[in-house]
Amino acid sequence: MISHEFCQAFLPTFATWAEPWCRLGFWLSLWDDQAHRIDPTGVRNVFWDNLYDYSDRFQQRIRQVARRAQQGNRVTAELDGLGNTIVIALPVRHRHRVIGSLVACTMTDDALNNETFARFCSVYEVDRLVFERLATECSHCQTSQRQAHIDLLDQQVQSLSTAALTTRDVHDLSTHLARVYEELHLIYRVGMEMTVFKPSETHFAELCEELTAGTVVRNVAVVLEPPPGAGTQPTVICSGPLTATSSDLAKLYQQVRDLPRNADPAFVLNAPQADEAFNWTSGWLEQLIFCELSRKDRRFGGILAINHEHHDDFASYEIQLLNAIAERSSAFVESVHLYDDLERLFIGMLHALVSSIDAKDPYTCGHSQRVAWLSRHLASLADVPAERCDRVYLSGLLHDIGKIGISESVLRKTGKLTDEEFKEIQQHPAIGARILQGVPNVEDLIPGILHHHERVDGTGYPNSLKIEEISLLGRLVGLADSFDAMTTDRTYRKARPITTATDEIQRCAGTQFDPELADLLLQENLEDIGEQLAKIAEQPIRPALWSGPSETRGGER
Amino acid sequence: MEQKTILIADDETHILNVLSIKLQNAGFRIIAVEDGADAYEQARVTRPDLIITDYQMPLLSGLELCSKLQCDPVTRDIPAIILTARGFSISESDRQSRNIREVMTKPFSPREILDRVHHLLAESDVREETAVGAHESD
Repeated sequence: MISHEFCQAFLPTFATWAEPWCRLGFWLSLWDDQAHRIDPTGVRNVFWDNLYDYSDRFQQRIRQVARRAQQGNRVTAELDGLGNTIVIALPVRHRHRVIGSLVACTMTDDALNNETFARFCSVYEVDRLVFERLATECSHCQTSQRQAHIDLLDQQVQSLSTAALTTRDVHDLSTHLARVYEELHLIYRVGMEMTVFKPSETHFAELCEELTAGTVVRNVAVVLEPPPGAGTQPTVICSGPLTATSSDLAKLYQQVRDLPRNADPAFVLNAPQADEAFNWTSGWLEQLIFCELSRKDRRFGGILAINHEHHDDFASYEIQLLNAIAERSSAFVESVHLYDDLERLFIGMLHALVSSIDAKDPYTCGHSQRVAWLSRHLASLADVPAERCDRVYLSGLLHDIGKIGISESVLRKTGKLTDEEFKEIQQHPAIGARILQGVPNVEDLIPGILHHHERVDGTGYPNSLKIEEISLLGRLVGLADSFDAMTTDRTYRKARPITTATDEIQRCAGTQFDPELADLLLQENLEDIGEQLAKIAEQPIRPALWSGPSETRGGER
Repeated sequence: MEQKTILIADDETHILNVLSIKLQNAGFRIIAVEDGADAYEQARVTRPDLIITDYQMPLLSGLELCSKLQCDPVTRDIPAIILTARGFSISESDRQSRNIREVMTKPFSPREILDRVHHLLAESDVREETAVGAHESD
């Protein structure tokens, strides 16, 4: 290919720099390493160009000289029969290889001696009269200058070819550099994006887009294994014009995931048609790189790079890039999973704690879970942002935690409470708040526990706060708590029907309850709410599913 | 559509090469210079459709170049992109007062530069069309 590039690099300017030489009496021609002439023939020198065109023997002679120059040395020879007419071949070198040659012909003033010229024309089989005339029209070289000119020409050819080929090198280098910049930019972006907390699917969708846009990979697919207990269907995210379906991609993933890979971090396949196992892809798979997404013993899925932009094989550049991204992504996925695990653990522990307290009184079993659910429901009706609603749930869950400090005899008494007993029960919000004081990351939940027995008219406990002093959490949980209390059996009375509960809430809106929140609740279909709450009752201890109530188990109250 | 010309100024020649090749391959005519002073000369003479300039250059910085271009009626409307290797960004007021449309940091994504170039040139085209429309009576 180098010779081809030599031609490409040299030809555009050839006519320009050949012209002055022509005036000095030198005819120039360019030859590649196969001794083919490559410069465009144009009438620059009437004598030599015509000689070349009309004399086959002359062409052969020149070609022969060009071939000899391929050996690497300058060739100087006399043209048969004509004294003082020489042909010179200058090899053109690039990086220690002869890639072509320049062949020059020149005659001096005294070459038009009758005798020798006649012989010359007969050797090369051209008309003597015509060529004699042509010879007088063209420039001739001065004998004394000839050697100097030849040396100069040699130097010029070398420097011009070096310049031309260096330009080509710079071009290649720049193209490669641009590609490297692109990949670097990609790695920076990917690294930065992964510190922002977003769902895995969103992250991987963006990653696939970046990869297909910024590298030679035509299509990228990320396959994520389903989390434990969530079925067997992997999630497939992809980008690029590929016609394969998600299930095709999932199947491909499953096929390559289990192949033995020894120490290689990636699986590379550049000619799938040679491997029977991949025949099922029937043509849409041309090149493949597969990198696993995994950390220690846990496998999260994999990244598939499918098909090269220019139908070339995937090389170590792409493999390394994909590996680096897979590593980074694996760490990210692991973080997300760990965070999820921790969150589940936290919620699970809270449920266990709360259930153990509620279980002291069989009638309040499940109460905290129900209040939690209803508090969150009310919060969403009140346009509380989603992340805060989850905190409302937790506050509702923990609202009666203080009851652990109340004696069982008081909690389970079936009759009316004495004043002293009542005072004791009234401690539980403050006890609950005290228990949670000092526990990290639950400070924002405390107002819900402390204020859930306050009344908006200031007659509640423990602090007789008025509406503007009672936290939103307190008002939400308070309302949810009362509603659940009214609609479920207690040691001291049976559950009230929904209509009674509705009247009660209406009556107490503005005195016990926040009137706006009471309104929101009363606008709901309370039968529905009642049913949903009943489903939560008697739940086995299970982490909350944020999307709503869990499946039914056990009987209703 | 006629071929658009882009003037690129950067004292780092590898940047000149990378950008020239990327943009030439996309069909633009490129004038590449190594300093802000040369860029100003060339801008006045050739009136490019867009200028991409480095920030730090020996004789005339990218910011000063844009100021000069802004003051000269011949070059006032040429949009400019500044490529900077500086650690901190160019202030909003600096940008506004000099018709600097984009500031991008090095190392850059050549693909992104091409995107922005297309975007800015499309904007300029629209502006020209509306201007021509308004002056149709002339």
